Amino acid sequence: MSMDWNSGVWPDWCPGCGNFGIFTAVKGALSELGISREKMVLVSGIGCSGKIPHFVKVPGVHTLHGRAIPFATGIKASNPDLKVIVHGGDGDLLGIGMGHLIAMGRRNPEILVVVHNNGVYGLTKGQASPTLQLGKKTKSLAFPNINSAVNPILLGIASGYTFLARSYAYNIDHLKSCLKQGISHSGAGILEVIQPCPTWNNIVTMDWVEKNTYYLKDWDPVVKDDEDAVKKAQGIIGIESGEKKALGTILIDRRKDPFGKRLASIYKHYAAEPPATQQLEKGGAPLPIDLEKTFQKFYIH
Amino acid sequence: MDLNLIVGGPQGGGIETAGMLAVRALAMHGLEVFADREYHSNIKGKHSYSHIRASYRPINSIKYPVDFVGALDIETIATHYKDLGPGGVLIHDASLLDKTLTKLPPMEKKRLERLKAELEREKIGNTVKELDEWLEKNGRTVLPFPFLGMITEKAKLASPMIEKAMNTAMTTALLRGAGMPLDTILEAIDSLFMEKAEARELNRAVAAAVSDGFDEIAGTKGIGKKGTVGKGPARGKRMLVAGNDAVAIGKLIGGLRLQTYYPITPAADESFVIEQHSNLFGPEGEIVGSPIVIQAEDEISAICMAIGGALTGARAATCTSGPGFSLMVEGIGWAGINEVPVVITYYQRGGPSTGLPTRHSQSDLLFAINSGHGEFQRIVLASGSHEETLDDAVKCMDYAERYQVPVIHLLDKGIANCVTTINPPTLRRIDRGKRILKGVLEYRRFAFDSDPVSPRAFLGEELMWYTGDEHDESGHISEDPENRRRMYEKRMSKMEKILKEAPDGDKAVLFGDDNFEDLLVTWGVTTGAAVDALPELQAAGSKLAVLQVRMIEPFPVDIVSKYVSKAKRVIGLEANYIGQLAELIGWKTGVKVKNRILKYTGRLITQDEVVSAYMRIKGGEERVVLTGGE
Amino acid sequence: MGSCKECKWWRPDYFFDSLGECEKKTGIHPENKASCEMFEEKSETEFCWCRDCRVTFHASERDLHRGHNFFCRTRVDSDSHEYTSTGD
Repeated sequence: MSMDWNSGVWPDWCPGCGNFGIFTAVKGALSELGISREKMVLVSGIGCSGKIPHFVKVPGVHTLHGRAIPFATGIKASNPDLKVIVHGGDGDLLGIGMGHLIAMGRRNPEILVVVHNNGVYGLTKGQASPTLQLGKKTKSLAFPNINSAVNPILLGIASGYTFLARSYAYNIDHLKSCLKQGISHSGAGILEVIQPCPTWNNIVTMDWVEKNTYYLKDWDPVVKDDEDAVKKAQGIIGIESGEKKALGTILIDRRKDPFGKRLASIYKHYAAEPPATQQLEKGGAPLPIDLEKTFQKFYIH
Repeated sequence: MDLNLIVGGPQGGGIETAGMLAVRALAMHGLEVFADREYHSNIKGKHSYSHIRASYRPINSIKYPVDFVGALDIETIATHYKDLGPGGVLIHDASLLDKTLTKLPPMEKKRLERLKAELEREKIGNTVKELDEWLEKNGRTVLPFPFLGMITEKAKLASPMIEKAMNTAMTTALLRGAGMPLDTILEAIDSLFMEKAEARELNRAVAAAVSDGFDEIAGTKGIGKKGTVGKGPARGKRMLVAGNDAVAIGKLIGGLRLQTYYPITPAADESFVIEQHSNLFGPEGEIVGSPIVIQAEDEISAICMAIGGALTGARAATCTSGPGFSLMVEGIGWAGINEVPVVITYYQRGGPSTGLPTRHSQSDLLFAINSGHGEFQRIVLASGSHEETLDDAVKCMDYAERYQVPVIHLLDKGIANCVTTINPPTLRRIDRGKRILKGVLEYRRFAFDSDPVSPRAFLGEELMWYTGDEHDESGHISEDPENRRRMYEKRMSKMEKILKEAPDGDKAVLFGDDNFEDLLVTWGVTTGAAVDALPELQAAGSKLAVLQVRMIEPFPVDIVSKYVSKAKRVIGLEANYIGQLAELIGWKTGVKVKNRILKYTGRLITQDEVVSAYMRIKGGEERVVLTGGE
Repeated sequence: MGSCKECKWWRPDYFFDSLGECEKKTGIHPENKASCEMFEEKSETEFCWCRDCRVTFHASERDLHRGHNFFCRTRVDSDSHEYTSTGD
C-alpha cells in the first residue's frame, strides 16, 4: 500500500539517512489516513528534508529556505479542503524561518509542521544548526559550537501551537502514529523528529538515541481546561528540562479555534466559499456586482 | 477656472478631514478635483497640508502659485505664505495675530533658519501680524477670522470636538471664499459624516456659524462675492478616490480573492479598503464574491502566502513599498521560475532604505524590472492617472493569469495618496488564462508545447509539483542540460508573446500632436503634470508632445523607438536622480536621452514646474533639477 | 478665583490649546474664561505637557521648562485615529 505513494523520482538522500525513515512513515500515514491523493499537499523548505515532496506521490510545493510555513498558510487559507503538511529541516524552520514558525503558532491553522531535526545544515556540508548543543563539535565542524540550542517544543508552547510531539526517524510505527495524530489535529502542530545524519553528525547516532531518549509514559497530553493548560505547560517545561529527550505526544489542545474558523468569524462568506472555490464569472458574463451598492462611500452625486 | 488652495495644519489634528471635506464639497459642486496630501512620518504634531486643485476640465496635477491658503496654525502660515499668487488670500484664526512666527518646535532646525533668513531678507518682521501686513502690501489679502470665538459661542457645542470644529470652520471659510454656497458645504458634511450623527450635527452647526459671519468679515475685502467656482453643471455619477482606493476597487472587480499585506506607507490603506469591502454585492443584495485579507508577519510572508493562494486557484495579490519589495524579491523569483500568476502592487516612495516614508518618488523603476537573481519573465505596468490605475488593477490580474507570470503594478505615493474624481469603472469578463479540464492522464504542470504558457491546474485538482529548483515538465528537480535549455526558453519566450499580444495602449501613449519636434517622455503620476502643461506650452508655440510609457517590462521597444527616433529632442521627465526611464530608453532603443528634468525632493512635479523646466531646456540647459513644494 | 487655565479640571486641546475641555462641565472652555464654582487650583504631577516646547516631560526635567506654560493634563480628540495617515 505504501508503495503506491512513491512518485518514482529517485530519493537521493545518503544511505542510512533518517529521512528514509520519515519518508516511510509519511507514506504509511497517508495510506492509512485515506485522504484523497490530490487533496494532500506537502510543502517543504530548502535542504535535504526539503526534497521529500518530490518523492511522495501527492502534490508537492518545494519552496524557499525558511518559507514553507507562509506558503502553506496561504494554500490552506485559500482552499481549506486541502490537507497541508510542512516538512522542513531544523536549520530551515528554527533558524531562517523562525519568525514564520512563531507566527504560525499565533494563527493556529490546521497544518502539521514536521521538523527534520538532524542538528546540522546537511545540504551545505554540516554547519551547526539551531538545535546543536552549545560546546558540541561534530566531525564537520572546525570548532565546537558557540551557540546555544533552541527547543522547538518549548517554542511551540510559547507561540500558541496546539499539537506538540517528538518522535524518532527509525521508529516507524511510533512516527507514523504521531504523524496521523498531528495530521488529524484541528490546529497547528509541531512534530520534531530526531533524525540521524550519518554524513555530518557523528553525535546523534542510533546509539546516542538509544541512550539519550525515552518514551513518555503516564503523560496525558490532552488539555482539559484553562487551569489544566497551566499545569501542562509547567509539566512540559519539566519534561523538556530533563537530561534525556522525551519521545511521544506532548500536547493536544483543542480549546482554541483554528485559523480557518477565525477567518470565518470575520469573513461571513468564507465558510461557504473559500477563495479558491469562488467562481469569478457567471455563465460567460462578468459577476453581477452592484458597484454603487458595494462601493457606496466612493460615489459622488 | 482653475482654483488652487492649500489647507494646512498640524498632523493628527483633523487637517486630513479638512482636506477631505474641501475635496468632497468641490467635487459635489460639479468640479473635477485633484488633491495632493503631504504629511510627515509622524502621528501628531508635525506639519501637514493638502494642496487642492479644482477645475471644470479634467486635471491630473497640482500647480503653483495658489489662490488660497487656509492655515490652522502658525507653522502653516510660515511655510506657505510664499505659495500665494497675486490676489491670493490667507485665512487664519484671529488669535494668532500677536504670536511669534518663529517659535515652532516641530519644525526642523535648518528649515527654521531658512525661514528666519527670508523674514529678515524681506524685512517682514517676527509676528503673524507683521507678515499679514507685508502680504497686504504685496498684493495679497489676509482674512483673520475669529474661529475659536465662533465655535465656542455661536456653535454652542455641548461636546468638545474642538479639532473637528476648527477644521470644519477653516474649510467653510475657504470654500465660501471661493464662492461656494453653504448648501453644498452642508451636503458634503452630510456625505462625509454619513455614519456619525453627532459629528455631522456638530460640523453642520460650525459650518453654518462660520458661513453666517463670513460675509461680514470677508465682504469688506471683496472675497467670496466673486463666485470663483461659478455654478456647477449637472454631472453624471462619479467617484472620488485616492490611488489606494482605486487599486482596491480594481482588484475587487478583477476577481481578487486573497490579499496579503504587511503594513507599510503608502500601501497599507489599500488593504484596509479591501477588508472593509470584503462583501461584493449583487443586484438582490446577495454576496456574489468575497475576498479575504491576511495581515502577514512580514513582507516575505506576505508574498509567500499570496503565491500559496495563487497555486490553489485564488486570484492573489499583495501590496507594498520599496523596503517591503526588497524583502519580497526572493519570493518573486520563485513565482517567476514556477510561472505563478501573482500581482504585487508596488507604491514607490522616497528611498533608499527607510528614505522618506511619506513622500513621493519614482526611483524604483530599474529595481522593479531587474530585481531577483537569474533571469525570468515578469510584467511591470505603470499607471499614470487614477482612472488608469483602477483599470490597470483589473488588467494586472488578467495579465498574471494569461501569461502565468508575476505582475508588478508600479505606482507611486502621488497616485496612492492624491485624491481625485474619476468616472466609475465598468464590469468586464475575467479571463482565467489557459486551464485544463479535470482528469487529464498524467498531468504535467510545465508541459512543453509551441505555446510557452502551459495549461494550468490548481492544487487539489491534479498531481503536480512546484520547486524553486530548475525542474522538468512535471515540476521535479532537474539538472539535465537539455531540459534546462528548453525550460529556460519556455519561460523567457513569454516576452515575445506578451509584446505581440498586448494592445499598444497598454505599452505607451502619446499625448499631443503627432508632428512634434520635442518629446517629453515620462511615466507614473508625473504624466498628469506633463499632459496638463501641454495646452499652455503649445499655445506658446512649442511643438511638443508627451509620451507616457506604461509597460516597462517587457519593454515595448517598437512603439517607443518609433516615437523617440522621430523627435528632434527627447526630454526625460521623472522624479528620481538618474532619469531611470531615460536610461532604460537609451539601453533598449539606442536613442540617448540627453535632456532630463528631474526631481528628488520627495514632492510632486507640478504643472508649472514642467512649463518652466521645459523653457529652461529650450534655453540650452541640459539637466534641470526641480525643487518646488514643501 | 482665577480662570479655567489655572483650574485642576481644565484640559487644553493639544492643538488649539487656548480652548479646552472640562472634566466637570460639558462644552468648550476657553483658557481665560472666568472660573466657576468647581474651581480647584491645579498642581504639578509626575508627567506634564509643555505648551511652549510641545513635549511631555518628567518631573526630573522640570527645570528645563521653568517659566514655560505647562499643563499636567491635555486632551486629544478621541476620534483622532480615524483621521491620521500611516506614517511609515
